[in-house]
This record gives sequence, C-alpha cells and structure tokens, in this order.
Amino acid sequence: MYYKSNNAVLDQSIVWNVDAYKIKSVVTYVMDVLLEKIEYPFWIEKRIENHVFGYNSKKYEQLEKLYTMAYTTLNSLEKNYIVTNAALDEIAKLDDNWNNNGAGSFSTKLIGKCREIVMQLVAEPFICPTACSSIQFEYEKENGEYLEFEIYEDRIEVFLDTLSNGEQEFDLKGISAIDKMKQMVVDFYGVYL
Amino acid sequence: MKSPNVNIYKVQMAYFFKEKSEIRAFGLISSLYNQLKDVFRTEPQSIPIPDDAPGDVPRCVWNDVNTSLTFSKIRLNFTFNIPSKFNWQELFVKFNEKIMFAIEECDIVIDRVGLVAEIMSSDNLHDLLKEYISIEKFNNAKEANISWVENIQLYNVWTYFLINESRDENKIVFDINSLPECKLSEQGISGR
Repeated sequence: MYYKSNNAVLDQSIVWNVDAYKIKSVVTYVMDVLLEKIEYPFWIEKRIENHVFGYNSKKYEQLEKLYTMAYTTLNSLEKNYIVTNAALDEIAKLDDNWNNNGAGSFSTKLIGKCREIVMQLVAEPFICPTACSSIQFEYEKENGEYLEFEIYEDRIEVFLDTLSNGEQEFDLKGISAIDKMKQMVVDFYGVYL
Repeated sequence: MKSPNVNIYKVQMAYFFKEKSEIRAFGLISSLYNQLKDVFRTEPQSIPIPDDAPGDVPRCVWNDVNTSLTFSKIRLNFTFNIPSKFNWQELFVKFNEKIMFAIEECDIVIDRVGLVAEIMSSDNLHDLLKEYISIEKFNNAKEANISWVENIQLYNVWTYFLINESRDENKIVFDINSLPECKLSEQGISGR
C-alpha cells in the first residue's frame, strides 16, 4: 500500500553543503587536544612543516571506530519511526479526490503537526489518511485493545477500546492536547513491575 | 505564585560511577537483567566494545516502550514514562531499589546521582508566567523559556519552564544533580 512504503526516505541523496575535509581537520584537532593524544612534542612546528594537522592517526582511527560501532548500535535501537515519517511523506503528496470519492488533500500545517507529534510518541503508530481530511494514528495490542487518534488541525479525536473500560470517545483540545495524547500512549502500554 | 495543575510523566535517573571503577559490563548486564527482566519485555543488547575502550563508550542498551536503560563505564541512565494510574514516587523507589541492588551486586560504587523529571501542565504556563513577568517581548512571544538554578543542600536543582505555542509545548523540567565536589562515596552515602 502506498502509505507503507519508505522508498521516499531510502532514495534521498545526501547533499554536502560544507567542506567535509575542513570539518574532519577541525574535529581531529579538537580530539587531539581533548584526549591528549598528540604524537609529537613540537606539534605546532610539525604542522607548519607538513601543511597538515599532526595527530596520532592510529589511536584516533581506533577511537573513531569504537564510537562509531557503539553509536551505530544505539541509533539502530532508537525510536526513529522511519515507516511513519515515510507514510506522512506519501500522505502529503495526495491530491484532492485521492480516494476517487471526493476526499480533500492534506494541509502543510496538518502534516507538520503530525510530524511534531510522531517524534514525541513512545511507540510507533500505524498511520493512514481519512476521507474527512484528518490523519489517523492507530495502536493495537495482541489482546485486542485498541487506541486511535484522528488528528485535525485544531483538535485530536480519540477512540479507545480497552478490556477494563470498554469503548470511550472524546476530543483533546488546547495547548496540552499533544501532552495528553502522549500520556494516553504511555498508559496504553503501561509499566510492568 | 499560583501553582499550576501538573502531572509528572517522565523521569530519568542517572548514576555516575566512582572514577576508575572496575566495571565488568557483562556482569552488570547480568545483574540488571535479573532485577529488571519483569519490567522490560525486551532483551538487553550488549554492545561489543573492547575492554580498553574509553569509559564513556556505551556498553549496553535496553529499550522498551515506556522504559529505557543504557550504561557505559562512567554512568548508567534509566528512563521511564509514568502511566496515569501509577504513582511516580512508588515507581521511582522500586526501580531505584532494583538498579541499586544490581550495581551493588557488582561492587560498583556510586559517586554522584542525577534525576530529571518532566512535568506536564494542563494550565497554560505562559499565561501563568505573564501574571508575574512584565516584559513585553516575553509576554507576546510564541516561544518563551525561563530557567534558574538553586543549590539545595548537596544538590543543584535546575528548573526549566519550556513553552512553544506553535508546537503545543508546555512543560516544566526539574534537573537535579548531586554536586561533583560532594561525592557520595566519600560521605558513606550510597545512591539509595
């Protein structure tokens, strides 16, 4: 389905607007100073002589590898919500009458609001567009409990179905609406002791 | 000042280990796993790092929906979100007990501790602050932040009011840290 695709993100090319060599030189220099890994006692003269920054390249490369390894693992486990963001990219591209039944397109403001919300949520939702110009966020647990938010520009409509309290429907409005939505997702998954 | 109607929804606990502590990452993972295996529905991930790597390189990460733990040889961070029906203090005490048990089991000494509490307000904090602050640019701004630091006994307490009306951000953060010069281990106080 179109909104499950993440090609839009994967296909993006990286554009460098800065001089990567200069940045590397500065980072190298700072690392040398911070880590006191300067190889030569007269490093300033060496630098002038060689027209390059003098540093203990072997040690620096080892450190760089270690940090890269650790943070790559950490980042891979972070909540980056690639699928949801790609789905929002796709929803943003929809024109009027995208469902062949007269549904309208989605405003930049609404898409922006959804992007803000997504990054604050503790769990990645399944998202889809609706025919009434809102964007729906869904969570479902294996036991059948279900939480749904319909995001509009000015409000958030909530539908919650839990084993303990049954079905509930209400709206969230005002400055604390997103905080309340975040809290509902926290409550939906709970904490185990 | 009129008290805002608030609710703590996220807490981060930080434990700073005594410098040059002998920390065996796998031992600590194992102890933490025994204490927290019922709290997380996921498994801890050990990061394969050589023993002589710098102390601040993360050794372990353990993430679930509402709980997250990472540690290096310098510090351990544990973050939890607080579901509405739970009392934050009760959760805090229970999690702290479990983590301290695991740390002490590995003979690791805590030198400093930190706590960051994120607090949600159902009142508009900017409106509340406007009653006490009369700076035109502050009062008319869409984005307004105010923060200050206090020394309370052995602790530094930073208080932040973070308001961004265009992003519906409206929260208070308390960042509490024991002072570096008041090392807990030198005073016979444990992280408990």
